[in-house]
Amino acid sequence: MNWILQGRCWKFGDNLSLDDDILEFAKVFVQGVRVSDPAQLKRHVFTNLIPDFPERAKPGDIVVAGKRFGQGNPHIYGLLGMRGLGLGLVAESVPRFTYRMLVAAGLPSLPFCPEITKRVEDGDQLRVDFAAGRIEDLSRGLSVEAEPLPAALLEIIALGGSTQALRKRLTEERRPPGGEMAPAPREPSRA
Amino acid sequence: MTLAEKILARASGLPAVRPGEIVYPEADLATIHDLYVVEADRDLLSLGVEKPWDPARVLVCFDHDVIPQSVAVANRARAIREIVRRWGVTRFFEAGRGQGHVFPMEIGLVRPGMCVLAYDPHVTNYGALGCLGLALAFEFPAVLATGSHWFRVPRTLRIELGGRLAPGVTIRDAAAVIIREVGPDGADYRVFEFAGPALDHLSVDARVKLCNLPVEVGAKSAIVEADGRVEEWMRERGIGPFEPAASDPGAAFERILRFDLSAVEPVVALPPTPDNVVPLREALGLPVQAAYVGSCAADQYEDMAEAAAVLRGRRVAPGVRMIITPGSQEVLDRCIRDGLMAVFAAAGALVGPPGCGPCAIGRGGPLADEETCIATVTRNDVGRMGSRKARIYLASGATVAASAVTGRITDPREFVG
Repeated sequence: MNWILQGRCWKFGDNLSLDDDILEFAKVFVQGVRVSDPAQLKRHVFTNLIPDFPERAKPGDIVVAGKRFGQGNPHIYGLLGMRGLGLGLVAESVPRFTYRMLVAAGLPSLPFCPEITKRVEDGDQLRVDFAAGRIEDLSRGLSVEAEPLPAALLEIIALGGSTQALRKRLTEERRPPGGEMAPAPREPSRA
Repeated sequence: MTLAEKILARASGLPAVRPGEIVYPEADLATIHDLYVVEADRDLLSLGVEKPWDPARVLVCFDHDVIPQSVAVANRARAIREIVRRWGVTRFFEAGRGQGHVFPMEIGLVRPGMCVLAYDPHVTNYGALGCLGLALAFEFPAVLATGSHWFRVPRTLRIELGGRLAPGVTIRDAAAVIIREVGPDGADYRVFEFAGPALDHLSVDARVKLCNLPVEVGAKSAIVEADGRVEEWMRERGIGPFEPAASDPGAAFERILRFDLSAVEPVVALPPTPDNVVPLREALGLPVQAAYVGSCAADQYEDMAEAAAVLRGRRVAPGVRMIITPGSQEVLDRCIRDGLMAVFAAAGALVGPPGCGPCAIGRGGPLADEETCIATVTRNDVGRMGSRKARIYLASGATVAASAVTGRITDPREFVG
């Protein structure tokens, strides 16, 4: 996994809500069933704040947010959509449940980076190393350190999120004592 | 250990746990509702899992799309029933049976000391019986596949309640004031444990209100010790076995807050967050077009009675539509037997089927653009009850009923107390 992303800074304020600001919850449903495919969800990310965000955002771009990014009912879909766009996240803080969901969504994140919104500006070029916890603002020539996620959680993100991590867990548990591999699980069948 | 720690230790097969530790508790019961079954099954099949780890410990309820409003939703409901059959789940409860955070308590599927892992965050309601409810949302398929998933042991915040509520003030008001005072920073990933002398006169219905709200400010769970009132509540319903469940003497709480119920006044949470709680007088007189009593935050018998006490002999104002959803068939049945349904009918209120009601993104009664609603629902985010251009004010069942009668946000003490 390449932990370094480089791209445009998209700066937002405090208290971005999961169900409206990040991705409007009603848009998660297709024929009454929730979509969890990042490639489909990415079309709706931040569109209530910036209507053409999904077209303008490029893989490697960094969302920089204030305090309590991802507050509200714990719906993961906006975070999956952010991953679908190839974004990374640097926030001043996130609620604990959202911390858990960043990992489950497989989204490279630095969720506790105090005052980052005072250091960088929207449109700056950023280079972020999510494993080392370093944010470089190439436009301003400054560098900020933040606590990276623990190695065990980075591993889940590297696998692609909680579903892939569960796949690994089940495969390992199915391995018989002799060391012979059990039949591999079926490939995902995305509905 | 605190009560939550004791339950986590027992469910994880450990002699003791400490806050911050990662544990894998096994679910005594795993609950999931109709809005997530198809998705969970899709994830499980992609992993080669065709049945839950222990179908006898899985509860599936149909409380969100109680009455399908489209063929697509009806088709999804059919798919859910087929999945439940394949899973071999016997604790499957059809649409109309009730709200999944209410009826399982009434029929003894939730008991003191249990560890319940759930898809939905409002599983914290079960804390009213001394049961630890923990939600996993998107990660819930891990529980269905293995019975367990990782948790970091949360710290416990103990809230000792004293005093008595004044007439016309409800436990919902107190719960709202508590989440405002603790706030998101104080609540984040904590278990709220309610205790203190006031518990002696707080019913199980009242305790559910206390346990429902903290999750809105980020609490991991909420719990009340299972005392004599819980035992009595279970005995009245013929359910058991009852086992006392409480924190150990000398348990390490992160902090202890003391809270005087007699100082509480009616409050309202202004849009768009549930902790935006202000004294009701700051919103008095605001015209409303919709009023709703229900959702897992307020759909038990006492909530119905609270609304009925205001509505008795009065009519819902012209220009207002009022919806009431009892939380379960048991609650509905008691409302009929005690004459509350007659009160609602005479008042011109619409009674919907047991379930989540319009709190589930407007299902069964969405708000239109520019409408203002006063409701007992769990949250008042933009779009929570329908239109993104509607505004939701959160209040007690008494305040909602008083506001429905006058057509503007009204202090229920004008009518009762």
